[in-house]
Amino acid sequence: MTTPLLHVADLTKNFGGLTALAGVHIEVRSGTIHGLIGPNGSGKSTFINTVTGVIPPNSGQIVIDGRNVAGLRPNIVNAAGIARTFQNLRLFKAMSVLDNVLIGEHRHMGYGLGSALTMRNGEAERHVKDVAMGLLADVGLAHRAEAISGSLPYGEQRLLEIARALATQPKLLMLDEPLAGMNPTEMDRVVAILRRIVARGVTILLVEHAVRVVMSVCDRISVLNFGRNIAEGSPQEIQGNEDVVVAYLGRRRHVA
Amino acid sequence: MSRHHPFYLAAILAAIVIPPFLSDYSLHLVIMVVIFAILTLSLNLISGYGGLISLGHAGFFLIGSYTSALLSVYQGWPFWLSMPTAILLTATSGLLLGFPALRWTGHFLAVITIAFGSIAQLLSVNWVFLTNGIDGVSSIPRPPLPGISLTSNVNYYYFVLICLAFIVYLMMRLVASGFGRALRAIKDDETAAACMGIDVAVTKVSAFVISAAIAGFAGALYAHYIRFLNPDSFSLDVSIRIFMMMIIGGTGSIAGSILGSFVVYVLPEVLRPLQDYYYLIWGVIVILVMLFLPGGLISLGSVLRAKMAARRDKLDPQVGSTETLS
Repeated sequence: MTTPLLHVADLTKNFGGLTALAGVHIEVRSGTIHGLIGPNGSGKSTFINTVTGVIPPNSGQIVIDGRNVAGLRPNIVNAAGIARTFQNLRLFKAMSVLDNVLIGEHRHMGYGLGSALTMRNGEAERHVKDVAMGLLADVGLAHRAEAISGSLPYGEQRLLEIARALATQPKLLMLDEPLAGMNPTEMDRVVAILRRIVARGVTILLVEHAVRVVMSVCDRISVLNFGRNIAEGSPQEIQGNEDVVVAYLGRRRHVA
Repeated sequence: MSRHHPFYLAAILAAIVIPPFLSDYSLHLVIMVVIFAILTLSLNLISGYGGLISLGHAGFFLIGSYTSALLSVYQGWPFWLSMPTAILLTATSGLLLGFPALRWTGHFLAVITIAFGSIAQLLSVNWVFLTNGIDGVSSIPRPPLPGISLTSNVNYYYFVLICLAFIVYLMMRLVASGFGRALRAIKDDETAAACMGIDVAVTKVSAFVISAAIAGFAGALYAHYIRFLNPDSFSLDVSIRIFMMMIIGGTGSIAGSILGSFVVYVLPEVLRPLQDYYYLIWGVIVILVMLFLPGGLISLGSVLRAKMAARRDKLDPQVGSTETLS
């Protein structure tokens, strides 16, 4: 039994009187694609926002690679090894595609304000640009490097978000509905990219509504409903789970 | 960018060649333009690139001016010691003002910075023991420079011009660096920037400290030029003026800051003979620039080119038809 890469326990988040997360627990094993599904409003996005430090949890533990990051600021959580994409695309729209990825690399640049003034950053800047171009090539956006990111079509903006998150060199990549608004061809392309990312040793937590894709690509799946865990298991187990079917479709009405 | 080079080259040449032939009054104006250009660049760093509004830059300007002036007049410090001290002290005040900027942005930050500027000015009026109050500080010496006398205004002009060149170089390096990129990312989307590992707090406070330090430097240059300080020179009006220079010239543009300083400082002087109509015409010009050139006067060239290109496309139906096919 190996310790999980991400261990979330008793995670609770209240917005005023509304309980968005009520003691959620999730374990993500290293080297897997872990699905997180649930009906609208079940707390999936709140889960990602809480884990990544965008909103502080009321209570609970978030342990990444042995370190508890619950309630820490987003940049600290990122440094601990968690990167993310956003459901409602949040690229740096006024900046170029390349610059967006370079922002992801910021923490690893190894040169700061001082060397910026003394002109000693030329070599380092070239290196980070090479890395960024490699990441763009991985998601098929290398030819768009100089474009303004806000001008890209929707699907490409989603791919850029993935490249930008990977640039932070995460252990765990949390993807918040990366397939939303994509056609089947684009979806296949993203799935192929996800498999490549995992093959390189990055673990993925995938929040997604496209059930067909989730079932085919995920190793394990957790299901939330009304901010609580209702099921956890392999795709086969989830498909056969009574509670999950009820959560998505409602209870069968018994005819007298 | 290379398209603009002839224009920039001409502007730089003009700035070097023309001033010795100017009248005393015009020379005074261009010296002030250069000092205000440094101030506008300092504001542009936090507002134009970082998206943090400051209407308190007159406060930094004041602290820089008074520190260098008081140290040289009452303590006998040479400029080359009082000026760095002024920069250090202004940077420290920028550090203190940087912390509110972490919690508040937009209008709230604007009001907080206005308050900062007002406090600085009130201190200079009421802390008579230190600042001599409304009587001000006089007989501030020009900086000593071996071989060249800076008591001549032409020489002082070239001195501040070299200082401006240095600040422009500094800004270009900063903006192109990882720090500048992080600052622009924060302006675009603070949450996303933080999630990508950028320390928003450190970046914002650093920007405030650097901005304040540059404004303090401008203050020292001003004090030793004008040789007499009193609190009137550092009102809210001055903060707003610096802000206007940035907006009219071009937010987030280094050349725009310099152009904006020139236009906002010199144009009212040119319009002054119009007397009663002066404010009216000045107001109309400002509104027109804001309406039609949101990127400031510096964007005039690219806006015109885009307009002409659009007109060409309209006149040439061949271009239109191929575009609809593709």
